[in-house]
Amino acid sequence: MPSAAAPRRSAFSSPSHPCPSPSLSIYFAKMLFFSYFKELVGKEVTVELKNDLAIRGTLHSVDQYLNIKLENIRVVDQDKYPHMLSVRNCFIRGSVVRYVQLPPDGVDIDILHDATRREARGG
Amino acid sequence: MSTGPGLESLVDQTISVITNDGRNIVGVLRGFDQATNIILDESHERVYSTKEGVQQLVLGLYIIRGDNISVVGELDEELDANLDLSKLRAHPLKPVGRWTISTLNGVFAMSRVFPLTMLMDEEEAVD
Repeated sequence: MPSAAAPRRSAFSSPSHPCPSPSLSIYFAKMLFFSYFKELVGKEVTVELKNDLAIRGTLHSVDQYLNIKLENIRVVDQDKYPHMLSVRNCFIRGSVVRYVQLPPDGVDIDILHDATRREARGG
Repeated sequence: MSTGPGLESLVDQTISVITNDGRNIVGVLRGFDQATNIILDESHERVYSTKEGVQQLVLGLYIIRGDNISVVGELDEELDANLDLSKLRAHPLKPVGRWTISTLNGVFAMSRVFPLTMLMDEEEAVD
C-alpha cells in the first residue's frame, strides 16, 4: 500500500497556493489540471459546453472546481446562439464543460508529461 | 484553500444566467456560495423562439441552485440596450443532458439523455 507522501512538487505547484496534504493520489490528480490551467491564464481558449455552446475568450481565472472565467467573449456560432450578445465576461461552471480548446503553442508538452508521469507513479 | 474566480465581482451587477435546461434568466446578483447557488433579484426569463421575438417573463426574487447553472455572464448594459429583442430569432438553447446507465438485452450501455419535452418544442426543421 503506497504511503501518503508529502505533496509532490511538480512544475505546476506554486508555493502561493497552499493545498491540504492529499492522502489519496486521486485528490492530487485534481490539482494537476488546476495548476495547468493557471499556467494558461491570459491565453485565448474556446470552451465547448455540454449544451453544444462554444465560447471563445481570454482565460481570466480558474478555480479548484475547474470553473472558468473568460473575458471578452465571443460565442463561436453567434447567429445560432445570440443568447449571450450582451455579455462581455462570463463565469462557466466546471461541471458543464465538455472541452477546452487550447492554442497549440500554449502547452509545454514535456512539463505536462513529467507531471503526469509523477502522478501515475504516485497512484 | 484557493477560491479562484468567485462571483464576488458580479454582486449587485446585472447578470445573465444560462441554466442546464437551456433557460436564460437575467437579473441582479445579490448573493452566491461555493456551490454556485445564487440569489437573483429583479429577474426575468428571456424565452427565445424561431417564430417570434424574445419573450420576457418577469420572475422577481429567485434562488437558483448551483447544480442547475451552466454560465453566469456579466451583462453589459450598453450592449443590451442596443439589442432589439423583438427582432431576435433563435432556437432555444439545448439542455446539457444527463448520463444514464441502462441495460439493453443484458448489455450495459451508457448514454446521454435529454428531456423529451425540451426537444419537441420547436416544430421547424433545422437546416
